[in-house]
Amino acid sequence: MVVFLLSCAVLVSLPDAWAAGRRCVTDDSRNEICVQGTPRRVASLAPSLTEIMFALRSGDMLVGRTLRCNQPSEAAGIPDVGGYMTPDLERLMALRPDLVLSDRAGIRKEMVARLAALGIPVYVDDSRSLDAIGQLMATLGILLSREAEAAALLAEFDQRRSRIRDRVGKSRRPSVLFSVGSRPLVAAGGKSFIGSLIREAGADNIAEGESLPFPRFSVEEVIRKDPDYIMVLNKECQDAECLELWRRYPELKAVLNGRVFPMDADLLARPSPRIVDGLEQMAAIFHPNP
Amino acid sequence: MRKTILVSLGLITLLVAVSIISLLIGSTGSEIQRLWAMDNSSETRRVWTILLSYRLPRTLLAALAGAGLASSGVVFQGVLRNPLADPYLIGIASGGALGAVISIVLLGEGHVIGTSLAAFAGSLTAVAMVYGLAAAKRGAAYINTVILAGVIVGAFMNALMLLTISVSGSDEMQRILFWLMGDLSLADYGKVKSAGVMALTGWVLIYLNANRLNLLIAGDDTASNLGIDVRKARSMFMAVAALITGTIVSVSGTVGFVGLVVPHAMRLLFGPDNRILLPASLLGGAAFLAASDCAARVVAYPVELPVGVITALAGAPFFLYLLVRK
Repeated sequence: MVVFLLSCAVLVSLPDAWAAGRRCVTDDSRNEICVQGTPRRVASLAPSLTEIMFALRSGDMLVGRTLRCNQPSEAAGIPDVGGYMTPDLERLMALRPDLVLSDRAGIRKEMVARLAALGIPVYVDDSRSLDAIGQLMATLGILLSREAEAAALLAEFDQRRSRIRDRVGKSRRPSVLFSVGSRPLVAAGGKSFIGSLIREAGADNIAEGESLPFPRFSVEEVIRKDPDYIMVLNKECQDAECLELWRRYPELKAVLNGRVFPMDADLLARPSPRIVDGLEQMAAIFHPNP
Repeated sequence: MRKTILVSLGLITLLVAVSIISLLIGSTGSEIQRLWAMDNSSETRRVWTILLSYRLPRTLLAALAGAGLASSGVVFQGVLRNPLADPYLIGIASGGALGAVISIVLLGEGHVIGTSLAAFAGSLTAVAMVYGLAAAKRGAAYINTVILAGVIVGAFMNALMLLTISVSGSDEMQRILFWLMGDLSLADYGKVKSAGVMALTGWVLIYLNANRLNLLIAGDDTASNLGIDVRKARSMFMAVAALITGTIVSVSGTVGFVGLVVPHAMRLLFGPDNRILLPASLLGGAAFLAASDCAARVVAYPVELPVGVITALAGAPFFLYLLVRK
């Protein structure tokens, strides 16, 4: 009888103890992602999320990454599960992760469903603004039991952003063309992530009003709007080559005044904490005399 | 002869009109007025830059590409005696596309010249393969073999291209896509020169032999009875047409429907005699593609559409009309 009562007591209290270590967050796909205790084997399917994990001092939990996860350098030692946007489900499963982090582009919905059916929670991130990145860091802090580190990271993030806001202040906003591709010319529109960076760095994007985030832009419009600055993402070209296309139009203000700048794709196209470095770089270019 | 001259003059007028309109469309009234202002203000310079550095090479390239593709279309439809033949039938498009995609994916950035050269090499490889497979056949067997070999080589190269695309990153996708749908926005005077020299030289060679093309259509036996070396004539025509098409594909991507639809349209209007059909297709093709490129530039301004979309939207209904008419 006593044994029976004791075991009932234990059985009743177990769920509570179980629940105590259980943490749940909602991801950008509106799914509830829950982990039990601190995750021990985490796989990251996006370079930005790998960076955040290391920034939150949880790199020791990482057991798998994509080939494009090149930052920070410690990530190189971790086995890969394929390329970004093309992860290998088998290799991923072989790692027996208890949590998978990915962004919207890095994993297909079918794969998320497959993993969920196997009991592996998949956090899908779709951060498209600096505010969202801040939110992401806080959320991952909860998920990975690194709340303190996340708070510190977020504080520094916000502080640097407000310093940039002060620098930009009330100065005149120059006009900018941000070219994401040169052949053919593809601009970063107002609706894109880079577009939001341009706004925060204190400039006016000549492709601001476009309905597509990355419209295939007309060179005529560039000539008409004659932007003060032309930024070229160095995905397709290396530095000097990026400026080639624009040399064909020497009458453009930006070309005349030597204001065509190549920008690092790893820095700007990735929603990671280092994005503030990119933001600072752009703010310094647009507002050289604070 | 008189008919040829009349038709040519009429179409030249059309081509010039289309070109001028293309150069001016997209500019506001006040901008056009600026063209007459003789000052050196930045607004005037801006309008001239748009015209001379961007629109003029583009319109010229579109005209030359259209001329070349339509002329090649006439040749292929004649030599293969098949109304569905177009310049891309013998694998030129697939070979060119494979070459371009490999260059874009492997060389990453790849200079524009690199992609064009790779595309041209790809086209020539495809043609060589098709020619090799068909060379030994005679008469009807030759034509069937060319068409079949063209389809097979085309399918094979398409498969390789899809393989290359599937291992590429997303960065190159938009570039590849625009190349496959035809992209004239990167036109410059260098490309205009190479396309021009090729297209016009090739066309002159073909036109000088327009009569032989007429006889080839009548049938191999008829042609050889009338003194034509059928094999030599066929090889010459296909080689020249393939070179023209390969050059154009390498500078403008694969623009569909021009080589297929323009010869038919011109045949409807002016009859099947190649001595008239060739100049008509040259000029009609030029006008068609120049107009399509203008539309591609303007319709969704400042977003640009690929020109192949416009030619397909214009060409497919026309082809349907031809089918229903028959």
